[in-house]
Amino acid sequence: MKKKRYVQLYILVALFLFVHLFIAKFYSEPYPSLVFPSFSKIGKRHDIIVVPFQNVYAIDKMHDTFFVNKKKVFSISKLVHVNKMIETVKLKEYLISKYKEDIKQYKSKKIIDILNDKQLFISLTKKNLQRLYPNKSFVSLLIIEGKRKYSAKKQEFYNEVFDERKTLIKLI
Amino acid sequence: MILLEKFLFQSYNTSTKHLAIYRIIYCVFIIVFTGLPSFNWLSNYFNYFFSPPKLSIANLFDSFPNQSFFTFLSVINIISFFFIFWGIWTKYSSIIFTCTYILGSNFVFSFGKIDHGILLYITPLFLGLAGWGRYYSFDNWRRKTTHSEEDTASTDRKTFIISVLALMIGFSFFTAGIVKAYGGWWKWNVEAVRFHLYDHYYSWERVKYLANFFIKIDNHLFWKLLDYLTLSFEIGFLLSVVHRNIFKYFLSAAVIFHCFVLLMFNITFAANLIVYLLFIDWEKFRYPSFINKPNQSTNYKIKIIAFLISLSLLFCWIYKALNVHDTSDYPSIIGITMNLLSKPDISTILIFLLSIPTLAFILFIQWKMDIKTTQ
Repeated sequence: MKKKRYVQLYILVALFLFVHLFIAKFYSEPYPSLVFPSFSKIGKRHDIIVVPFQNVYAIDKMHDTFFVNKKKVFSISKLVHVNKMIETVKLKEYLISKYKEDIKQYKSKKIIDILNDKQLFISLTKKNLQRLYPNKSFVSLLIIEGKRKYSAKKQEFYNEVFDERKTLIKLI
Repeated sequence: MILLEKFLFQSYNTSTKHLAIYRIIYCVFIIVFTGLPSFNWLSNYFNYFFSPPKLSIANLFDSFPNQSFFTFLSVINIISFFFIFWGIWTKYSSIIFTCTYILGSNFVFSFGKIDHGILLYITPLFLGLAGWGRYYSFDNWRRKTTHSEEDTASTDRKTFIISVLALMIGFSFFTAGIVKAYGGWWKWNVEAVRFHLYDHYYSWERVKYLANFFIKIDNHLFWKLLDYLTLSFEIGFLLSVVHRNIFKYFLSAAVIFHCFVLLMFNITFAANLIVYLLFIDWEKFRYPSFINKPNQSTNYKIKIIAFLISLSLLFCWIYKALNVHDTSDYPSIIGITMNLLSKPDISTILIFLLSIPTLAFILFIQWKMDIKTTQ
């Protein structure tokens, strides 16, 4: 192949990469992807910065609450993945609760598959909790999400929580 | 177009022998520092979390395949990696290595978050096609003994492949930079780097290394300087790919950039460093005599030692792939050593300690290295 052809091919690859960027930003990031993390969010100078958090607790039969390590409970090595996983769990819990209201839809294949997947998830979580706390018997998981504030000007972290949301997942 | 033709084909030309040396360095880097990713920890247990990217192979599935599929994928990935190292059917091994990684990681990223360490794993696909298995390989020995025909890429094709890899690196940085600019990083009254430092520090509890030091800095000029430097570096990266010499300076800056990201945000992009190494001035080096004289006895000894170490590691990783299902990677030699000593994994820090002075030095200064070895 002539050099000129290779240069044309090179330009074509560049165009393809731009289309790929366009799709990733305005539709959905494909995989494989060459789009690097952008960290595009910004905070104003001397602003009050909002810091989100996402904690998981295990509740035992005595209603005692234990703060648990998300990575260990869900058997995942990276925290960034765990946070996304919790988003999916919340969505599926919502779907189950929504479909429960309509018995017809509750018997659909889609929801039966989700319920089967939930059973596997519960058995994995229980196994991991058993390994972490051998003497405890847990009955549910509680996901608490919320936001806290940090003052960049005063360099102070405020402990009050706002926009708090809770998701309870029964393990029995 | 003529300028592009001149710049690309003059500057990115790398000899097949240097590509072969790079292949060895690439594999040694993985063996010593990073290890390989494992896929066999994935199973149906994770179906409740299954949320693949819309545009991915994993989205063609309703749930995770069963564990034996991932074990098979991991074993093929490991074997193809060692075949690249030894130079056995190097072109095909390189393609298989990249494909199995992409297929496996499709499912790893089916929890909704895509990681961005792909450059390390697509490099073999490109360089396999460029002919990095031509020398210092079993393929080369087989060709000599059977007098079979060479399967080498033409110089133009090889240069084209390397320049496309450079384009992909430049483009990756550009994607991050352009989105930052769109998000408003350029505005004088915002402190974007500082904002992300707080976010990582308090939301993700990334408080190691120099995060504590940076979080106390309250100087608008300092933070704005970091914002503008990041923006210009990331956006400018794409333009730099037209000529290898300019590109090298951006790669040096990238090493420093990754170092800052590690120290400040505790995020590691260490694996990219070995990809950057491809673009150094290979011609400027004088190599140890055992590389230039393949029949020397030192050469055989080194080959046998390297083969035995890599063979042991191959068995170790295969054993792990078949029997251990809760690990997300197959550890490097440093990882195994640290594990045996019950010490935390320091491979990330070690990579930086080793790479920053060497890589920055190589890229900044046209230094003639003359390594003398005992005959």
